[in-house]
Amino acid sequence: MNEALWQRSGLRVHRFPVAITALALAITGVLAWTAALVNDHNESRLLRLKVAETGAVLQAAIPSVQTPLSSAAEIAQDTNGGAAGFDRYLSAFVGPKKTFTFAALRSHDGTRQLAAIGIPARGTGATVPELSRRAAAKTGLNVMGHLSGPNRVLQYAFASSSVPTGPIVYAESPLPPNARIQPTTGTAFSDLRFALYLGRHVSDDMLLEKNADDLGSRTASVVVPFGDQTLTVVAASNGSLAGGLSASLWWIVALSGGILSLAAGGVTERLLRRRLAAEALTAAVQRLLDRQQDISSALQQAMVPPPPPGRGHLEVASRYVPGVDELEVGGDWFDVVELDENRTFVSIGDVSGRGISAGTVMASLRSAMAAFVSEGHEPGALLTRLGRLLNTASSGRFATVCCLIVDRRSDAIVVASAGHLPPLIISDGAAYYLDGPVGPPIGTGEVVYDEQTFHLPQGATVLLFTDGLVERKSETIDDGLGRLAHVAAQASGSVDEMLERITSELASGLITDDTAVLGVRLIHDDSR
Amino acid sequence: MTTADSEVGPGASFAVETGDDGYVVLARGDVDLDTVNDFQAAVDAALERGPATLTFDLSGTSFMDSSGLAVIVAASNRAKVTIRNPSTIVRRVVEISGLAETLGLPE
Repeated sequence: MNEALWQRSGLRVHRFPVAITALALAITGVLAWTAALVNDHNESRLLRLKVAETGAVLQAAIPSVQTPLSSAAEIAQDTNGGAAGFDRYLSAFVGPKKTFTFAALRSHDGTRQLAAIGIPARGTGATVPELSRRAAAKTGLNVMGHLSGPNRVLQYAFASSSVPTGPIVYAESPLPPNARIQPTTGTAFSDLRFALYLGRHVSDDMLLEKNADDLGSRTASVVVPFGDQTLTVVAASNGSLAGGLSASLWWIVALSGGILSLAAGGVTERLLRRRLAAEALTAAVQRLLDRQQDISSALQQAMVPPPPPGRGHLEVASRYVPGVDELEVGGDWFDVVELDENRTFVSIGDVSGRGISAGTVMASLRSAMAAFVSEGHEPGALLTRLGRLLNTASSGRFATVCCLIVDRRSDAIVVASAGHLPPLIISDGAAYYLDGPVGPPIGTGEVVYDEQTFHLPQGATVLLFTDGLVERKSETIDDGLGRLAHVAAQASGSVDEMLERITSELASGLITDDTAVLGVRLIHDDSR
Repeated sequence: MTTADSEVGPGASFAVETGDDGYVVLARGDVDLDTVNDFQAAVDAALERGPATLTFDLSGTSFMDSSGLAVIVAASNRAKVTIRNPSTIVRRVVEISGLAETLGLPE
């Protein structure tokens, strides 16, 4: 396991997930800001609509002031300045908690008071003639504010337009002390904080009334005509006009976006760590596989060491090519034993299947064969004895074996085979198989193996091999044998050079089975 | 008719059927080191019923290596074994291994 890698991923967060989180947070920020902006825009628009609506309501309320005054003026005119009709009519509107606290009928020039109801506010006397004259000059409702001092009132003077010289109706409406009124419910004003000013200018000395000390930063205003004056309403919303969702959308976006960003970063970090861990694991497994392959290879070398190159009269070479699955030990072997200065015992074998158990079967057969060879048995008798040592029914394996003895004096070769592929003789640019008797493989039961003696041409090479060299799934074994004979016939030089050529042509690709190849050549001294 | 199927690797399957006086092992696909364990399992399943004969129908098999032949050789100790419909590749491997007689290869 790569310790450094583990520590690094354990202690520190990787750069990539941090970048993901940062990007997601940035996007969240932009979205939240946009949501807030949209909400702000909506709030302002809705406030403008609301205040315009409030202005309409206010405008609709003005006749409640104007109508009694105009009616009173009509009545006074009809009764020719008679105070009785004026009193009778207007007294319903004058008094505490009524529309007016004081009303008076004045001569057209404003100098004389013809009738009066209620109590005039203190300090208004000086302005009454002036306002009356204004009304005489300009018919209709004239308005003036008495906005300082303890008795704050709105003053009205009304002159009927139908009679140019008729009497003037003067009235006073109370204003709340300090301009402050209690918040109301269930009206157009109920969810607004507002301030009402006389005239177009928003200034404290023209303030009529307000229901809050501070309106805040977002306000809208509307101007409503009021007699010869105007009223200005400045208002702010008490809550969110667009609704709670719109107002809280930005922080919902910010909160959920922030959580998702962190989660995305966390998941990415986790996946990254898993990938790194998997990579470390893969590398560790690969190292183990490499090591096992080394072990298999070393085991194979130990069990089947290449035979010595031969002494004096014998030239020997061999190749062992592991199959695709190099992790397992194969069951192939070869052996060369010099019996005396003239006779040499040579064998090759192949235990079916692969793996350690195939290797152990091979090792036991090989050591038993060495014992039988030292006892001086000929090839046929040797295989017969070997056959008693393996039982396919119990072990699930059999072994094909070919063994032979070459004699330098007589150029004779004695061959016996237990189901193995025949030896190939390569001589003078030609190659042929020794067509001797073939018994069943070792392990198939009590078998007496025959042997046959052949003449070996001078300088000929005897090639023994296992099926990996010739067996291909797509063709018969005869095709493979024919190909080997063809390649071998063209090989020349030392035995080692011949084997190099043969194995490079026939066992270089991805062969599935193990391949063992052994070449032996007799060397005759010319002095004989 | 008794049938026991075992699906194996890429393109090899083995089945056991009741024959005239024993069982028939039907092999489809190559029998090699990759599939031999399943081949062995099918043969063991047939042998457990103690048949007098065991026939290997290899009409669906083109290739069999020595490990597959070893399974048939081992079975030949417990029942009379015959091979039916071998491919030329299988037939030649059996012949060249000296197993034609042991495994009851048809002439």
